[in-house]
Amino acid sequence: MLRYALALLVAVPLAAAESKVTWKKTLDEALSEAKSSHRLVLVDFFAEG
Amino acid sequence: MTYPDGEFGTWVNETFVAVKLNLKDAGVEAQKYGVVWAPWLLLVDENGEQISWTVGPLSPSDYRAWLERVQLDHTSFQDTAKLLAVDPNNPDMNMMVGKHYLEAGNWKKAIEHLTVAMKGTGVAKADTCMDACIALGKAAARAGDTAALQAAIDCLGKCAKGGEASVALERVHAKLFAGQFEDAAKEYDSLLKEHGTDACAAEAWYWYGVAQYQATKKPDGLMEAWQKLIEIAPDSEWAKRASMTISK
Repeated sequence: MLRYALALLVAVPLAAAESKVTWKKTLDEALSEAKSSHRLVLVDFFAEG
Repeated sequence: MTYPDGEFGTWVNETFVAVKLNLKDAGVEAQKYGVVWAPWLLLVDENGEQISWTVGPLSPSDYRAWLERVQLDHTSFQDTAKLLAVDPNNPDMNMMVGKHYLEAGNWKKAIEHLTVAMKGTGVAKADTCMDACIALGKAAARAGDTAALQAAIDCLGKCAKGGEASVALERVHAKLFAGQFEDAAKEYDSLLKEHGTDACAAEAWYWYGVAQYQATKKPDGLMEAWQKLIEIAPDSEWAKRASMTISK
């Protein structure tokens, strides 16, 4: 039972984290990761307010 | 842009490296990619070369459809580019590669390939010829390449009518994206008076609104143009974007 509860505690936050887009803070950081993972970079320019 | 949680987020994380940039703090990047509005979405390759762009907001389903289409086009482009090395004058492959460069904003490469496509297609295939002429005209207008633009217009006169408005629209876009907002607004207005019933009118109304806002920093002209857009082309993708922005 305890093992089950611990597994649930670990699994729930992980599942939630996976469902949100992970944003890099700079384009350079994104390009660097894209080079190592061979993925394209999605850039979202936004305006505040 | 609003990103729904769940499967969409997981898919984005697995497929792309995502970065969010505040337009007011990202002047260098905005200038590099010609960003004049927000939300503005780009896909770039690992070297920072632009593959495609669009303006938001988009619904989650439209957003995913755009990302999937661009990703698929990029894969096709890479395959076709390899084949083109073996058969460099193939008009169909030059058309595909040229259109890819046009979407990516690489005007010089687009002109190079679309010129081959246009010459190779010939007027016997009117639809394909018109397609090549319009694409070439758009790239030439953006690049300010008057010789290529004239070649595209001459070819349009032979193979089809009706593409002139699309090419003219691109000439005005070139001013808008170069930051010449007042001139662009005046020219969108003139273009809409002349070509207000053409297929590209919805796109012209959308950017006419943006140009007016950027020229005056007041929302009146933007709202008037977008209301007109929603009235004349309510089902267009441009009206959807305007409606979503207005409703925020």
